[in-house]
Amino acid sequence: MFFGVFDLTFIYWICFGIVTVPIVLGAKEWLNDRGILMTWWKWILLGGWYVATLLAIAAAFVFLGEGEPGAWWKLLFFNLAICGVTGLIVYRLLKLRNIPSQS
Amino acid sequence: MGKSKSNGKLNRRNFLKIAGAAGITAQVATVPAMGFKEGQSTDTYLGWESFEGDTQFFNRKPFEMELSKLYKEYTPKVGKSSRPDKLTDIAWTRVARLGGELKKNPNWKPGDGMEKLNLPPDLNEWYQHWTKTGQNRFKTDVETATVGIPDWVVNNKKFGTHVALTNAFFNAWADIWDDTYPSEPTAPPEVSDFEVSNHGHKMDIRDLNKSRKEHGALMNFKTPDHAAKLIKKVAHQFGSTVVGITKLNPDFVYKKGVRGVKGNEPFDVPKHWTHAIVVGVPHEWDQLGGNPQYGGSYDGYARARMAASRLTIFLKQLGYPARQHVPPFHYDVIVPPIAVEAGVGTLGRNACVITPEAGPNMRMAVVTTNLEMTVDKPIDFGAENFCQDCKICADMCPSQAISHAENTKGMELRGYQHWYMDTSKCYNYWMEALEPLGCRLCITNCVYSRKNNWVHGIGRVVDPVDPTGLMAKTLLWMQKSFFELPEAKKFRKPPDGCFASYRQPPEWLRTETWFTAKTINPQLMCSKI
Repeated sequence: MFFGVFDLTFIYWICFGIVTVPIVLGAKEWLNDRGILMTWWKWILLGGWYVATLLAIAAAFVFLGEGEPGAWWKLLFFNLAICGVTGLIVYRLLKLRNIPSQS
Repeated sequence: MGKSKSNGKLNRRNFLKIAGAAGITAQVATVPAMGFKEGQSTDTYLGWESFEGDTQFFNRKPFEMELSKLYKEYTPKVGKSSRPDKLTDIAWTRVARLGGELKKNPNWKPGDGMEKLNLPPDLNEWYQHWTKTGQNRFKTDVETATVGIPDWVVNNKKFGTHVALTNAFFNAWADIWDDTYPSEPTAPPEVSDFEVSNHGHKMDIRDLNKSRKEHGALMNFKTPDHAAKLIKKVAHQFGSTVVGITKLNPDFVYKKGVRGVKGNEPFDVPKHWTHAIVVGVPHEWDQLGGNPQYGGSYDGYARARMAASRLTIFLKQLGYPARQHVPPFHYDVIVPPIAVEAGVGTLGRNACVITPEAGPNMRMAVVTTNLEMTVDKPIDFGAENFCQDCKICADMCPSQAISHAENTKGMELRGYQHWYMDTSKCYNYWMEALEPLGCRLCITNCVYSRKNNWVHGIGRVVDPVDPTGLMAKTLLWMQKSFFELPEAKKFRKPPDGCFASYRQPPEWLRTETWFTAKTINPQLMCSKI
């Protein structure tokens, strides 16, 4: 059930996948603007960080759904702090071995 | 550098960036909703969402070990083993007997000592044994009989309406043993285990098999493997969430008072009790957090009972003798060590069997039979080590019945070394918590007793295969740092406590949600404690 209406979960995940396409293409343009040359390992690193961040946010809200509001906000702040720090590290790594953008 | 040449115009590149930013916003905004939905989802209520075998999702194979290893390293045999005794080892039977002795000696006072009470030899011996180990179980049982039970009656009168809905709900589950379904054996195992009902007519399985043999229709399984597979499949269909099979260890059969025989005479383990099938179902997950005051055992008991009883009848219909050993008190065997041997789980600090799927939130029953089946092996999926460090159940136990020891060294019970609890202290709190009976707090607060969603699933999958122990340490740290863990004393009766519960009960289980009846909520006092 999705919000007590009917099962839209399947449709949600299809939409999620569709939305991911412009996210990747937009990220490519945005990174290109900043002169960051993406290689396969950088894509894996960035994608992994993004998925982990989404999961970290979702995980905290799982506890809210389970009726653990105390654990919810503590875990949310804890996860966001970790995601913020790892995000900065990932950004530094993305800037490694770049060549000037041709655009 | 790669500055956009669009000058604010919506070209392809700007469109992709805007669409990407909108996509990220949409995902980040909706992912919390999906997480929240997952947390609430009844699809994660293991054992209450499906009657198919997929409820036993944990792959036990990589964690199996031989029985010899179990009894060498995990539950070492350290002394002469002895079979349990229903009249002393079961707390409520023991306290009821003690209460009877106290009534016979109305002038006896606790200061007079146990000797002056002239207890029956078995009871006397049992209390002496525990006194030698430093546990004054006699004193605790006297306290339960003389103070605990009378106070319990008073408190239930005062606060009973507040928990009346919970009580009604669980007593409805209890109906099947109040009316004794399945009917209790009325004859020794050698007779009753062979009785099968065919269209209302009672038949002896041996006669049934004789007749089938004449027609070449004996229901012999192709192999023991076929037998095990079918039994497990059918057990799931009958409502069992987990199933395990082992050979019956006679050490875990009560030594006296087999059901179907009057009196409490010693009995030999029947020859046809060669194998034991363990079935288990969890408690309903909504109410679990409401323990001790708003939870109950009877839902799990009733469903385990039904699954085992149906399995018993199924086996008999096939031509194999069988007997169900079911909660709450219709047993000839003790279940936890049999469940450990059958690989259903491992024994935890709280003396409950910790299953990989639902932790100790698993109520079990056993069917004994002579059907030759491929047996399962005990498992080690990391819970043993986890229990040594965790101690949440011991910290939170209102009656301090659970040991804080670093390991099981020195803890011997009937010849085996393993975690056990002080059953006198445990039962003392049983007779303190509001109705419906019992506590279940150590089931509720165990970190393994969690619903079947992906967050807990990560822990379940990663921890058993993590050789560094880092996952376990992280999970434990998170549990103790992030989750609310009420103080043990708050669970006790007023004025020391406020009849706290681990979490608030679900709305549907609160009297105040539905009824106009006047109630007194003892938990309103919690802030003052």
